Amino acid sequence: MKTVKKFFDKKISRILIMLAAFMIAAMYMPVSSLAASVSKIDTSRKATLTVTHYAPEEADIETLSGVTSRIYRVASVDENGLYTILDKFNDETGFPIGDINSVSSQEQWDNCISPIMKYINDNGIEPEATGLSDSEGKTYYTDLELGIYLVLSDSIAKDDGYTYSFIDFFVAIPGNEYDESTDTYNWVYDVAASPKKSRAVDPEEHQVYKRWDDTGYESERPDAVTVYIYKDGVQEEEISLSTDNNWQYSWSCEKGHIWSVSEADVDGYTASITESGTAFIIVNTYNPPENPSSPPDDDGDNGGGDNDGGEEVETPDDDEDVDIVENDDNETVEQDDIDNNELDNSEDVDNTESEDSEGGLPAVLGAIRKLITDGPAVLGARRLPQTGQLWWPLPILVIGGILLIGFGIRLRKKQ
Amino acid sequence: MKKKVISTVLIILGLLCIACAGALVYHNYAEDAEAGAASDEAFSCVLEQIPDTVLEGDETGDMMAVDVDGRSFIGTVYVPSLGLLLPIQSEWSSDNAKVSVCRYKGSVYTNDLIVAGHNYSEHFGTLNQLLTGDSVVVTDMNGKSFYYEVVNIETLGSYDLEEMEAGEWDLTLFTCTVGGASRVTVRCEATGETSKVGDVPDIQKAVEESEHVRK
Repeated sequence: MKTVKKFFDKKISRILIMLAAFMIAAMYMPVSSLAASVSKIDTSRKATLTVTHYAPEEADIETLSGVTSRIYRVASVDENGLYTILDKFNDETGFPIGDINSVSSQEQWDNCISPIMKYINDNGIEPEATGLSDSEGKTYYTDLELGIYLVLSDSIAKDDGYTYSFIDFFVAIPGNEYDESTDTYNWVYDVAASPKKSRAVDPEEHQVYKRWDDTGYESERPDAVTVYIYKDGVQEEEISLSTDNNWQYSWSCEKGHIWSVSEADVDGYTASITESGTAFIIVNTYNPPENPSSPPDDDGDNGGGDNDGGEEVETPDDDEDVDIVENDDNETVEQDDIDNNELDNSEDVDNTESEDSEGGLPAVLGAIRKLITDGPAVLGARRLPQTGQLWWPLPILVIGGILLIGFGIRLRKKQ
Repeated sequence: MKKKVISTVLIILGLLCIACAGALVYHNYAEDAEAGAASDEAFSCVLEQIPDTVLEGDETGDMMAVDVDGRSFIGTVYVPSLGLLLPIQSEWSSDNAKVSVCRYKGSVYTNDLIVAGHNYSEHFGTLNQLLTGDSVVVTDMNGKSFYYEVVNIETLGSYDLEEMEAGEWDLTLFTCTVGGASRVTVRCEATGETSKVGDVPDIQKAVEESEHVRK
């Protein structure tokens, strides 16, 4: 009785095993079907696996070359088709299902993939083999031990602007092939498989940056500028560039379109647009009035021009300091550039004094600076910018203070 | 009695002088710290406007500026040996110099850029510690870095405008000496190395390396 039970248990077990093997084969292999009767597996044989990476039907190309794939042997198989998880994966975190032969649905197989991949990454498990698909999309793996393999494929971006991705899958080696003449399933040791595939648009990022060419006229800048973005000649978007977005904007879109931008008119400025790669740079150049009385000057350092110092004024590189700009009427006008060297700091010093005066002592320091440091012309001479802090009064104040106290004490003692 | 009054006045005046000296020290240190913080903030804003990849730009004209709170910045200057990474404003003014170093004249495109900075400790205050052969990197707003090497360090008088602009120096940095009477002037020559269009701007790496930028 026990022998009979054992016989039936073994038989049932064998059927389950075969079912599991067939499930894998049926799920992942194009040529396979359920068995009528099954022969023994020749475990001494080596096998081959050919993985073909096809492109989706909607793509213009049929197969994908240059796809990198890797195979990991997860389980071995015996002559009866019984699978055994390899030691390196024989861990709950490696293969999440204790008995691999109990796997009976695709969902179970799918659920195994993520944990195994994590296990592989965490433990740095090397693949059994790595391959690159040829011009026909085929990758050949030869001389393989029998068992269950996990096949992983990298995504690949192609020149058509799409990125192609593949579903990772298990494949059983050997597979099965139905022989109608004998109504049997024969083990196939040269297995062919192809992963499910998909493609996604490879997005391209575009940017627009705002730049200014208006030295000395910063106060004329608008708070924001409006920029129109055109896709294939049709306005796609209207955006505003300002401090809020750091005067830049970016957007993504699939490749294959022609993008352009334009800027709404800005009073006093002429816009020029240059393109670099996928970026647009909009430069706004200020057009000063034809007869400017004096340029607007926030801090007073810039607007001195060349004459406020009289003959003694240094006018280095006068030729370089003339900007030729076109105004809105395409009329060429010349505008003396702001000469950074011409340090007429009178207004600036006034500002400093004004700011500092709120603080009492700093107001005194500001006044001292006005007299000593920032004064641009002393007897007609011009100075380089005063780039130092006011330290020189320190020893005078200290020494003077000590002397005064000393004299005072001495006088008091004499008295 | 009269002498007593005079002696009291002298002592009070002396104490006032000492108090003023103390106030001056406090003011300068506070100003120094404020300038460092302002520079860091401005640098962060400038960095955000530098593209993720080096762009190809017009290198024949003036250096284009970006707007940060109404101020114009034309790029950054990086001095690795001093750990300095500072934004450069488009023009010098006393007010601008409280925020960052400023262009005094010229452009990297014409190899005659002169940058002036206050001698705040976090601006150009340590410029006199540079040595011949030290590296200086100027990055424009297209993200392109231009590499220079210190070749000469000299001290000019505050009236030496012609001397400051004389010579074929590709890059000049200057600041005041402590007393303010002279200018520490660092002359640099271009090494010819520049970052390539399409690459990640070198400034990104410089940010990691610089000790100056407050994290």
